[in-house]
Amino acid sequence: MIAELGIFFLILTLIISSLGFIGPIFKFNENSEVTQIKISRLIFFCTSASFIILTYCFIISDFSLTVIEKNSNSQLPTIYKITGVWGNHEGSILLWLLVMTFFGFLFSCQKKIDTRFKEKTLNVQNTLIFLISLFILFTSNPFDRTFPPAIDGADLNPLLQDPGLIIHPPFLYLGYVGSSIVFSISIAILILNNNTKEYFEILKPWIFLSWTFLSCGIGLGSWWAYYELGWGGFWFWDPVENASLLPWLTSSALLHTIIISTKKKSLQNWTLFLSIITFLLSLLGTFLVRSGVLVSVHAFANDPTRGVFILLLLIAISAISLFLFLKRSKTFSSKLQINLVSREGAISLNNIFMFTLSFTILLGTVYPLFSNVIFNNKISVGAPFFNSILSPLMIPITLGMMFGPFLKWEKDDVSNLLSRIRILLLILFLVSLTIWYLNYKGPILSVIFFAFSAWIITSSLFELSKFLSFKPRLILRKVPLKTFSQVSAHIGIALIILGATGTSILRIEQIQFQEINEVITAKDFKVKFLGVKMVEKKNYKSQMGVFEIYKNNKYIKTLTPEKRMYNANKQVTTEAAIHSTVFGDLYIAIGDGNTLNNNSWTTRIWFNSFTIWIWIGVLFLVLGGILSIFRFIKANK
Amino acid sequence: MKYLFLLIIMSSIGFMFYKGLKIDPSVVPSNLIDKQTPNFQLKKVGKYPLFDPNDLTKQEIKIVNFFATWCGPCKVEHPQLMELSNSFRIYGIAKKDNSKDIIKWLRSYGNPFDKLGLDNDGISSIEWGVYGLPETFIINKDNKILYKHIGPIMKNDLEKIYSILK
Repeated sequence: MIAELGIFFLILTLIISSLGFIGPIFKFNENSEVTQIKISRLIFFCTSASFIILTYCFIISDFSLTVIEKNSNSQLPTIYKITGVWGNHEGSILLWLLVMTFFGFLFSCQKKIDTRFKEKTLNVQNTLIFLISLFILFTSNPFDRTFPPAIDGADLNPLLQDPGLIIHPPFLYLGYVGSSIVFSISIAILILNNNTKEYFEILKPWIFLSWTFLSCGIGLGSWWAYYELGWGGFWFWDPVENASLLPWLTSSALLHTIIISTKKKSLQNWTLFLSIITFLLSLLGTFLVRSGVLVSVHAFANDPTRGVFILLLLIAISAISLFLFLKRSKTFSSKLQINLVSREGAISLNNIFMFTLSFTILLGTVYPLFSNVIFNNKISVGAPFFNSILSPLMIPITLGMMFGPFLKWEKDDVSNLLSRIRILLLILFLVSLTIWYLNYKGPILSVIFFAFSAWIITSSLFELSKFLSFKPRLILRKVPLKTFSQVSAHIGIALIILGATGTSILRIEQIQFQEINEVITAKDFKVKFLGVKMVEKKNYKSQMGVFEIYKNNKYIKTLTPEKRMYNANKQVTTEAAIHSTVFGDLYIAIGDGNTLNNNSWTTRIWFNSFTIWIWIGVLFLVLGGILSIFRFIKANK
Repeated sequence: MKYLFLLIIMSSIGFMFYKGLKIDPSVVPSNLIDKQTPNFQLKKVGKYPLFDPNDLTKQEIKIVNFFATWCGPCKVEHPQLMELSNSFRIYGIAKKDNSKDIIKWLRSYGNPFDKLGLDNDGISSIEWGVYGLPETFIINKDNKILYKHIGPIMKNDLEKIYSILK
């Protein structure tokens, strides 16, 4: 019965949001009680109610609902019953809708915006919500009944029975769908055809907000794959990962152009274009993930009718928004010329490279599909392609991050800049020598990327040093939040480069049959295999390998990687065991026993250098985002 | 002009994605198709006759099925194999399994196999390019691989299989 209430609220969302959609056509928003603001708030309430009801049905294990029967089980711990809500297609699209209405609601509460602009923006947002709720009701209704009701559910995919599922998808969605409000604001600006700076000021915090969530979501996903799922790496250039990276790249570019658009009133059309593209890429990502057109490790159940529906949505929204953009972009094109040697120049150049990077990654991601359709030729584009395009493009992006912040706005010249940063150049030279001295034996690429990382960190810290005064004593004067957030984000990127380089280029891998009591050496660690224990838990049985770790002949700790067999669907999962240090991670996974020799097992032992810095980098990145948002909140008071 | 450009781009992208929806990306054509069957060596299971490479030289169309008792989808496939075994010879290769379980499995679900063998170290499976279970090969009179089916043969796959076998 309660499930019917859930579907009632969903239908209500559809009807009310349709009022938002047709509002401007029948002109009943103006001078009437039915404002877009009210609509936004009401649909947020309805969608929340519907989502809460679905969650409740999961908690009480109502197996008469198809989704719950397929994705939950009565033995599941309560926390995974709750996360199971978004561990499937229907529920996760409902979460998507919830986040979308949440952003509409938040925007409706923002002060200091003129009503006409607010109404227009919410009109666009409500239209998007209307389309998505149509999609849910017609192709992915989470409240569908199954008959006869099942006695027990098929269980949640064991890979998803993990704390990572609690936070990774919601954060990713907050970022993905957060770009919908950025899109709506940009479309509203285009419709109103007004290039005033105020509108771009309104756009700014939302870009930072969705970017921060997206960074967090991607970081968490990567962390989850590495530590919990035991994939052995942090990034695989999987289509679904790329789908989340693309809007991140374009919104990172957007973060920079919006500063110019609000400060100098130039690059406005580029800002609007990036806002639109970011959301379109999020939609494209949803299409790629949900329709199953590409082979991915994120193997979701796919259904062609859903694919067609999202494709229609994607094409319609892209066509209309890009058409509008082309029609109005003249209003937003600037007459000001941008000097190459200036802050604007550096940002524009960097933007070009970032956009190139995202476009190339997009091409690599969808190329297998196109090649299949056009040439009837099965190919796969993998890590070597993406790594080889990433490396050269990192050079200009790094240089931009290093020197951009030292350039003056509007006009600057090179000799002037050089004399201003001559101390920095000297320090950079010394840093490079040190890096070379420490790493010259290693692969050349790792030396280059370590140098990039160190350079960015050095110049970012140098930027902060401007705020040091030495007289009368050493103090740090108040650093503006703006600078702090920029420095923090740039250092974050540098740390990610450090970790990524260490983990991918300097990885040491050993796969062998390891006999009981045999010792394997990996970097500075000695790994002694003690044997395999059988462990039985509530919903799985496990073969647990026991390994003792020694460093310099001193015992450090015991690691226990597992191979688990889940009772409900007999699926086998690998749980790696990891010993993390600031210099790198010792990563152990256990495989099958040797059939010829009962005393030996397949073991995989890796040493991944500096991996932990990837996540510390993400923290810095997110901190940078949070500081900016904090600044907007303070400024808005 | 620019609108036309937009229209062309959008419609061609849309068209390609739409076409893409109908193609299953997980189907990968096997390199072994139209080639001679690879060599292999198996262990005997109980008293069942052992499957060896000479069986494939017989002048008839035959089926080779890779399975395991620990593999759920193999159980789903089993009734279809039983049906196929009425008209064709099926040879079974059990991957990373043990004789006791196989004998129990064949006793309880029926035995579709003319002959079978156990590939305990998985080396024969590698020779055949098997990466998931179950996988099924159709082999012609001249001992060449005609077709490879990845995943369980479901009821609605039978028609296709029959059309190849004829």
